[in-house]
Amino acid sequence: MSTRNWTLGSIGRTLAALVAMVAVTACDPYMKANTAAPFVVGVIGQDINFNGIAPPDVEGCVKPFPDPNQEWADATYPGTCIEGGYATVCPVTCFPPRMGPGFAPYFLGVLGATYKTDLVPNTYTYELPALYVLTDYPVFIDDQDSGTFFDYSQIRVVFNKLMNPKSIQPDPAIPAPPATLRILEGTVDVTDQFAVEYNPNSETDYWGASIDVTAVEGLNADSTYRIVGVVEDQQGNQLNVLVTIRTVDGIVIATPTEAATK
Amino acid sequence: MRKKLLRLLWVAPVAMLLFADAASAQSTGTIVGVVNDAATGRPVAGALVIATSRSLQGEQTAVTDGRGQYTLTALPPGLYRLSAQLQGFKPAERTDINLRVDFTLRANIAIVPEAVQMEEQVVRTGTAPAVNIGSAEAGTIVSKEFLASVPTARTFETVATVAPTAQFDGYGVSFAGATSPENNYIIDGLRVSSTGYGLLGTNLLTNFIDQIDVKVGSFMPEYGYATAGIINTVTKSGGNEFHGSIWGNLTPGLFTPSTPGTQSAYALASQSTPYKGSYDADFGLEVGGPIVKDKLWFYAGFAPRMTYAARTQYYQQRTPCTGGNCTSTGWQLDQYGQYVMKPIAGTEVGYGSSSTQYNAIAKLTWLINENHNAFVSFNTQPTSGSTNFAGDALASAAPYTTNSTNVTLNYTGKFIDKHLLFEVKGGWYNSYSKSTGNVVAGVNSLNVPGVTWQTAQPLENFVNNFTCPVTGACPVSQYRTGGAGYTEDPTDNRYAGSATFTGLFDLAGQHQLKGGVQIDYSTYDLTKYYAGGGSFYAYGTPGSTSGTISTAANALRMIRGYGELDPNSMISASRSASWCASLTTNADGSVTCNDPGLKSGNAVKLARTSNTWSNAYFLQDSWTIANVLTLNFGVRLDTQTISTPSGSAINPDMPKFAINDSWAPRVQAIWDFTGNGRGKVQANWGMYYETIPLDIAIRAFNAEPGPAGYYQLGSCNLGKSDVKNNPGFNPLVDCPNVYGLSVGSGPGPNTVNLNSPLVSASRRGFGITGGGTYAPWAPDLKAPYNQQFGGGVQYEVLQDLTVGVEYLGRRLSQVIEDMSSDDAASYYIANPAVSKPWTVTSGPYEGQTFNPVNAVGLSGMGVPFSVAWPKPQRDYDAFSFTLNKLFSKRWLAQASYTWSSMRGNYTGLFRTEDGQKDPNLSADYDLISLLGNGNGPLGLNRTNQIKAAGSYNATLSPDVSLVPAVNFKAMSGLPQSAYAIQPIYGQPIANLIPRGMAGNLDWTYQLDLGAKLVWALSGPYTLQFSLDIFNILNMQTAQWTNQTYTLDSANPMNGAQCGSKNAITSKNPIAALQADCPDLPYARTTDGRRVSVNLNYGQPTSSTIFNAYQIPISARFGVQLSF
Repeated sequence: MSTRNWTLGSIGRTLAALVAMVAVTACDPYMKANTAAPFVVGVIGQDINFNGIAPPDVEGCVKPFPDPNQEWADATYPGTCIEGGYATVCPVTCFPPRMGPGFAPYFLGVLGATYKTDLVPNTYTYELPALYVLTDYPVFIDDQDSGTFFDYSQIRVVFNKLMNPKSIQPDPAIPAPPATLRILEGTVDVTDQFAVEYNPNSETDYWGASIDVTAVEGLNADSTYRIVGVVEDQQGNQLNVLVTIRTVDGIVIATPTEAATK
Repeated sequence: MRKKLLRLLWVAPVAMLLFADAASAQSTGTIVGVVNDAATGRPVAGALVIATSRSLQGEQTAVTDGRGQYTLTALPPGLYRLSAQLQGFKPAERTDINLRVDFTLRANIAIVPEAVQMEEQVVRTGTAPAVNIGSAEAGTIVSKEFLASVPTARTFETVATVAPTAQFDGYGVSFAGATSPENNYIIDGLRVSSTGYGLLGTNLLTNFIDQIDVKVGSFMPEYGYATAGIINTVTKSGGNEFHGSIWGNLTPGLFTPSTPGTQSAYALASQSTPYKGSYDADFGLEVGGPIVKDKLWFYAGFAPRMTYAARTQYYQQRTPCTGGNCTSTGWQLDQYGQYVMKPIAGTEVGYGSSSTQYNAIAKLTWLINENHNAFVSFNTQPTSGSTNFAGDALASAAPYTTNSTNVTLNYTGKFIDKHLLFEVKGGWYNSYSKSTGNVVAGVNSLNVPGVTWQTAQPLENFVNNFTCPVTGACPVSQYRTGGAGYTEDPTDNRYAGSATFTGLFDLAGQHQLKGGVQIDYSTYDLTKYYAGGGSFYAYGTPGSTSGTISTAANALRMIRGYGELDPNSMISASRSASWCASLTTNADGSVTCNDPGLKSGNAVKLARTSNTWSNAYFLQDSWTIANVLTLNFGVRLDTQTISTPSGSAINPDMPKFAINDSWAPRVQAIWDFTGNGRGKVQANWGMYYETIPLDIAIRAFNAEPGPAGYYQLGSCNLGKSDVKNNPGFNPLVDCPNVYGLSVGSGPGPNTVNLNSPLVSASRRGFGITGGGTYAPWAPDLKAPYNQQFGGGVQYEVLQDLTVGVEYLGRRLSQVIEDMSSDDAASYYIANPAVSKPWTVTSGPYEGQTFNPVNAVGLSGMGVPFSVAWPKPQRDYDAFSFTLNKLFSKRWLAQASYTWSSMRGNYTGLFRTEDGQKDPNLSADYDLISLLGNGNGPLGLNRTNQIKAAGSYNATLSPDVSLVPAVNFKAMSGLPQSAYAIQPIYGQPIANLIPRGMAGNLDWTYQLDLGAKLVWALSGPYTLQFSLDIFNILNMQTAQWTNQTYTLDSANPMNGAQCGSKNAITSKNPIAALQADCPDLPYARTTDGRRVSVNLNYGQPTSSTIFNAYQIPISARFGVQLSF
């Protein structure tokens, strides 16, 4: 960078390096690696046209849903269940119906089978798959009313931290996973029909990296896809990944007829 | 006496208000000591101690008390002689006491009984001490001897960088890692910080300066209006003899080479070429002397200063591929992936920026009697000039006029046998800047809208008679045509006053109890506008009809095209989305908006006024026990009320913006372990509150709606496909009905007519930029403050030579910022992570809840989330080793080494990353998506600073002396980062990797040498020739680099780890950073693509606040005749 070589320069750099090594790098809290164990934060289906995620309410998601007991929610999902906040942050509001239509909220850990509500009876019970499963996942939503077409051909698996990129996508220029990470349709390995990419960017420090799995030719309806394999974080901690997506036909939301709107 | 005192106490506040002044600031010093019997060592009571100095009118006296102690207060800085007299003792004296501003020196005197036989009739005690045993504050004093001999800048502020921990931060001087707007700037007791931003408002020539008291931090409650340092400047005064000088200085550009050109992939280029006519010249005279000896002194000076900075504009072309590394479009790249650009011969054109400034100063010092004195000080600096840019003629100059004027009055009285001091100050500070416009062919650039052509186009589209040697090899981007664009005209006023009493008494030791009130009424008026009534950004290719609205192809984006909106009906969150209350489509396809929220289109300037009362009260005691231990303790109460009386009929629904509970306790302990003032051990702790600059009142407490619209260039009535030969291209003329309501000729109030069938609905946009209305503030808002603490040791190892080591720590405790939990739809003012959530009960935000503790938002992908707003953090720790040699025995020196660390997520009152200067309104807490990777080494974190300056006065002959001098600085480089475009703001401010992880820039070395040849002429006259050479090694180290890793929109890679953290200094910073940070090669845009890397990443470039490279070698020649 400097256009001159000067003895003081090297002296200064040496001094700086020594001081920095002793006083800065070694114990700098801002440079500490995140040593937390990796886990899957959540799974989401994404529109590859990036029209956002705004699937309409579907059958089964009918208000009023039993609101969670705030105290219970705060204790169980700290920081995610804001009173009057966004329903899908708290996995219990309007849940499980929103689990179905191609829209799974990010959530921490594996959901339990019950949650407390303020209604009577104050325990609402529902069934959940044991692991991350997107069910009734429509391969598209054609919202003719708004003119928006959602092509849900991308599955994003979100982690709590940055991962070792090589364990997901060995070459940044080639969207393909290593042999330890596979995409199955039923029991058939269809990995080569997908672009698998490591995505280290996230909008908040609440999340870490993700795997973006995009069906090159789109997802088949009425199929079961699985993202399965072993990945690891940058500290060498390994993590088993198993995500299931059960697709259904696309949803067409027709433009309301004049008669219907009257 | 008591009646007199009571009357005075009553009159003083009235007088203070009449005088209306300034901040309390010491412009004097104190000498304390003990008079002992040399024979017995016992203290002597009743001895008369007399202080005399050339800087003191008359003399000051004190009588020792029962313990032999004396105190001489309110002494102007200078070289003092003390004499002690008592019947039965021989007279004694102590000379060469170098008293500096706001210092307390200990000068003990031993007197010898008459009975003792001695040859000398006057006892002269040893050398005087130089350690300030009255204070534990961190800082240094810059003397007039230093200013006169050491090569420094011509104005005083930059000189303050000699202090340990100090550095230039782009807007001013940073102390201990803080930003310069956090300082308090004082001239002769008057606070001259700008009211809008807190920056230095008046920068005097060093010729007019007597001393600069640089307080780095940890000062006592009598000082305030600062969370960082204080630059307390004392101007020269007259004396009992006539003294003065006539001088001239010239820094010609002839000896200064160009700095290296910065990397560019486009055809329009420019370079600093100082050797083509740059200069910095000043000449002036100063004179001071008695009007009435020992009674009334005067000092006056006048000095014009002219500057010109020459640059050369030239065109360059891309090089066709000849093999190796090439772009897909066939252009040659170099080994680092940069376009190989070749200057086009014969296209060089010289231009430059100029200024002419007239500096004037005057001071009257009046000794009413030994116990009462007063002074009045005045200075002014009318300036005119022009800042020039490369490019189109009309847009390429920004002429202006500025001025700053200060008037200070000061009265000091001593009562009750000098045991009670009373000081009243009053002053007025005024500063303004006004754009005057560039006139080309009769057209004033303030009357023409500016156009920035964002999308790359052939240079031929803009420049007449230019042909690129290779087709397509000369694209330009962001080429500016038209008028001056965004323009601001600010005016500052401050009326300030203070009244301070100091009581001296004994109670288990000596006490100096000081209390006072400081009144500060400041105004900040700002007129901002877009030249010609609008500013345009053009995208895409003229004539094309493809593309979409906004930043895609073929759009003309107009912002602030016409006047104000009714702020009460324009809430940005809702109205930006549906900009018009009643929109109708006409039969011809045009669209009309009938909206009562739109005001008349004629008011194209937003004129805002604001004011603040910033009053403070303090009480402190300096308690000296056994003449060796001093405890300073006290408390300061800062209050502030901000109003926006005109320019807005808004915020009626909010409580008054008033913070009246900023209590700041401070303590210091100083142990004079030598017992004679030659050494000390010290420690300190204190709280320091910010006085909020008024920019927040203009920007956040007012609406600043900017109507913005998009239009298709294709419908402009140019009659041609480009703007060639149209340097005065005016969308108002050339694009009829481009936004219907044109300046002064619109269809009328409340109506906008997008009268163009060519614009289909999908390609037409309209909205509001800027704040549509005011930002509400938290009901429990507290003033920003930090805590400072430190300690150290100082010892005078040789006469006037002091060495020391000290630690200084600083922690941010609380800040005020604008925040948005809904991604810029609405903003609020709060203490991040501290203010409690609240719900607005009335007004346009009625019912809306703001939560400064937890950020609940909806991500760009529609996924909701909740995170805690992070606590603002700026942890600064520094160890400094210092050496100070006062001017004596022909030489002086100041040297220091500082090791420091500054980590956190908040830089201060401006953002070092992008230079954003909006105190308390930075982008740091604007968006949740901006929070990621915010922690790390902060922008002003220089781990190492080495400074050494000094001079020596060598006698060559009885009449000729030579004064060689040196000023050396070596500083480790600033940390660099990697940014992506933040998707909402469209600016490269998203931290892709954690802050500072690209590593630090190289060390910067600067060696300045000077020499003065002083020739004593007959009588009192001396003639001096000087030569100062700055950066004599012509070091050209990079000071700032392009840190935009990608021009794509991307979110942070939260918590990314980088290995060596030195990528920025490698030859290929991009490859090095990618190798260093394993996630980086995988970085994704917000829409899931791999980011495109900015090939200019890591290349030296100028920012808003930093130059790309060090300023190259330059030489200053001076001549001065003194008498």
